[in-house]
Amino acid sequence: MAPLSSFLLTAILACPVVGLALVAIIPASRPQAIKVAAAAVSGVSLVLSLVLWQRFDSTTAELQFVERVEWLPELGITYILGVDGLSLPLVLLTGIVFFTGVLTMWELEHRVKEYFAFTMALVTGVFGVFMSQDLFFLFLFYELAVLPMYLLIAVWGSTRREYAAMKLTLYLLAGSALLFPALIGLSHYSGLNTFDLTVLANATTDWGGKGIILFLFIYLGFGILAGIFPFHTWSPVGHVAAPTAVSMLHAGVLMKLGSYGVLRVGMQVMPEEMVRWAPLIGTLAVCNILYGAFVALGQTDLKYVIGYSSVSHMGIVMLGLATMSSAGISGAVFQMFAHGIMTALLFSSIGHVYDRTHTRSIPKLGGLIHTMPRASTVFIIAAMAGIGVPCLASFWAELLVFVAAVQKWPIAGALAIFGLVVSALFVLRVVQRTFFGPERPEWAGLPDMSDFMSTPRIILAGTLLLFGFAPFLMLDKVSASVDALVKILEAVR
Amino acid sequence: MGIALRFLPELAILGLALVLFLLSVGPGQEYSQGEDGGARRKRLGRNASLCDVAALLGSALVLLTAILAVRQVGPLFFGAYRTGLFSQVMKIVLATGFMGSIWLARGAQNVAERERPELLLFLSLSTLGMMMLVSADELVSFYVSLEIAAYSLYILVPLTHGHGHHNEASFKYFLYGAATSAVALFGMSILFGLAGTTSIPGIAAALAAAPSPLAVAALLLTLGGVFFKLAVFPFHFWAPDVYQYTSHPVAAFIAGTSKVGAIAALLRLLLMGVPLEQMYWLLGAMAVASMTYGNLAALAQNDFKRLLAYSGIAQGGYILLGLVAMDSAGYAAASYYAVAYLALMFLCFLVVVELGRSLPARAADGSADNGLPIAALNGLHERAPWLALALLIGLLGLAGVPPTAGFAGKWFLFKAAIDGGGFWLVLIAGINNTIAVYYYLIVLKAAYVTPADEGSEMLSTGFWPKALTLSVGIGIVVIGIAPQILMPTMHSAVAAMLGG
Repeated sequence: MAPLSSFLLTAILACPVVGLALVAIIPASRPQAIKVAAAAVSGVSLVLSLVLWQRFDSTTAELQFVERVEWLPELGITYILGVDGLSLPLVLLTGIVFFTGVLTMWELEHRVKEYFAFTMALVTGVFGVFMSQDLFFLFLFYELAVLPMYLLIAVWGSTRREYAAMKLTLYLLAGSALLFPALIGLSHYSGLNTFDLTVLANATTDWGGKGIILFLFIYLGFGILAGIFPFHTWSPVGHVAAPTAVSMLHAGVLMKLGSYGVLRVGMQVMPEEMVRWAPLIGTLAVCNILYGAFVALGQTDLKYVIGYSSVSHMGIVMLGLATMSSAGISGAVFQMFAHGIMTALLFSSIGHVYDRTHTRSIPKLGGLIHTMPRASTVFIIAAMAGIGVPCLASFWAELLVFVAAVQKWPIAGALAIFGLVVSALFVLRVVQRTFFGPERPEWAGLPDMSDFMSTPRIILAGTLLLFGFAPFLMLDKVSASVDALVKILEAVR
Repeated sequence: MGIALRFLPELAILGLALVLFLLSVGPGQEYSQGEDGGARRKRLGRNASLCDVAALLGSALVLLTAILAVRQVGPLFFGAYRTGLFSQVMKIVLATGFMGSIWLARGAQNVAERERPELLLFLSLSTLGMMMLVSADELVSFYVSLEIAAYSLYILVPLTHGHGHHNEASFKYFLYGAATSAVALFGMSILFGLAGTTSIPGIAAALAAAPSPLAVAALLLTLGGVFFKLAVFPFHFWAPDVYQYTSHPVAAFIAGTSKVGAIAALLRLLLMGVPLEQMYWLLGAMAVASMTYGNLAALAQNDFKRLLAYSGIAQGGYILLGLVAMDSAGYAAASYYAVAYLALMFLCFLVVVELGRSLPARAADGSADNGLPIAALNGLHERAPWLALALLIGLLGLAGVPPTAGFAGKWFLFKAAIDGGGFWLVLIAGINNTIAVYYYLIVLKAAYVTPADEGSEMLSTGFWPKALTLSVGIGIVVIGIAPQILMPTMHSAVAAMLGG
């Protein structure tokens, strides 16, 4: 392997840290320099993520690009970074959303320095979670990703921002309250005195009566961030209040931390408990899909529609995981990626519409395609992806999950597909009322996206199309790790 | 020479106290409104700043001697006193905290200029008491040290202008302190009766040979004296009033350095309780009560200093949680957390002190309010970005947010508790931590989200507050991410203490 590979993950993780240092050094009176610095480090992190993607060996389920430094052996803490097929797509997703998110906020004028400083801290946390293979560091980065959200929403947000920010933070930290004992408990009750995830996963531990509690804590603790029903209410409120790029990061990446946590810690370390609880997880996931879709149907605020559709789509991820089949888990990982790109694109274009019209109310909007063809087009592409139109990335992801779900639980699968039909209904309704129809005089003459501001949207839309036409690019990278996980799950069943 | 070196930090701080004492009986005492009042006042001013400089230099010297004496191990004074790695490390921490408090006390507002030497003098004496406390190897010297530390603070608390609340606070503090001292003495007398010796290791051995319910009761009474200093429920009643109504530097000292001393003393006393099973439940119950009470009460506060007092009660609960198993992992975690807590408190009180300078020092009637309403922090990010940053790091650290040392410290404490069988206790602590984040965020919201009140002016932050914010902040993050800088030292220090 080329020398870069031996520290590639640390290099990616260092990008936002360097960004934070740069942003801190550049005086607040030079916002343009801060933005350029932010764009540069996020661009580097994206390029490095692409290098990672390209160098990733898809034939093995082993962790790759592993970096291991003894940290605090007395307490079983090791600094281990590594990616496998389950985390690779999410690292790339973070790189894409980070870069496009920075570009989307190019027109920000209010407290630029602090905004980018907090964003950098958040992204450091997100990258860290997807790469860490040690529970101490995983949780450290997880908490690091959650807290900047409060200030990002409360300072730069809109509708009921202080309420939304506090609600979001308290919900997520309530999850952390469960994770603290659960993650430390994993190390303690395994008797291994280590937080190394690979060691914990490979050891066949008899958890005894504690297994149920530990697993449920991990499922709920991480699941709150994934928006599992009925602990999802923070999520739409938070999406709506957050500024554009924070919504992108939040719905696009942050919610994936939750489902990834369930997958990485819950399923991989405690497969027996996963098998035991799969029906509950599946049922709640179907609730997510149906509930999110129906509530989205009744919304008049564009961002609320997308917020609730995210709840619905995260249900698809959890349903895929709950099937514990090769197709289902691949679909879930694919869906995490596709949904991340898709929601980022949706919020990004809504952000543009809102900046120009100063409203997100669907009844007030209409005929925007005449004045803002670019913004409308990218929104429609993303919306189509959301309802699983073929040739877009989510189609394959959702197809895989639904096939797996119908095979395992026919009724639940059918209900989930029905949820998708409902979401088609609300998405088409939104598209029709907001973008089509006669041109409204009040919106005439509003500027469309500039070429520069189109760039991030084109990157996102292009990614959706690329993986829509060539899903094998993704499934190829994911399959080895998923098969290994399914084998473990089948062995304990 | 060896023996002198072993006692060097204490000697240094005693010397500093003497110097300050001489300065305090200088011309400043004859304060009069004579005809040459103007000239006299000028001389007083010089005197006060001379004291500040002397104290700062002296505290640096104390820190230096503490570092020099770190490897000095052995008994002193016929076994009444014993220096070990643990006590020496803790002396370094105490000396650092002392130096920070002296720095915060420079040009202290709300303390009469002529009383400034006394302020510094009693801060030194209290630190001396705490340094002796961590080395005391025998109950009598332990008790004497405890009282040296405590009585200095009883004098310091009312040493300020105020509405009269400061008198109430100091009275409460004194009465609670005196009562818990009496209780602690009673407990010590029972321990002496049971073991036939006042030596702490001797008592530990005697109790291990014959554990009894009476020993549990006696030990609990003895610990009361330390719990009072640590302000854990139900020994906390003095804390909110004292924090709010005493002058800022004294509050900073009580919140930071004094807590470290209390934690170190607690660890030494717990040595005697290792064989007693019931201690697990007692400590666990106190931990839960303390953190729950502290956090719930903090929710309702609108004064920042008072909020810090309640949050301190809760933090005391987290520390006790790590000690439920009474093993070396828990002791090391508590020591680590003590260091982190000291640094975090320094940042919080740096904001209080610096902001306090901008508020009107006294009302028209000559009285002063030593509180700091949370609303006074509004718009701090514009008015003083550096102070806002200090507040951000300090509060996020207290809330246990990574990458600060507050997160790592909580992880270690919680791990020690779970390894000691306290899974459910940690769940309660986790829930408490969530509650705590709410009120820390309320404060941060004032500083970062709420716009500045109309007419509030920009604050200029000097070089040293900026430099200290930056260096302490980086320090907190560095030991938070790389706890291996500190933890192995704490482990070996604790192991040395447990070993003998």
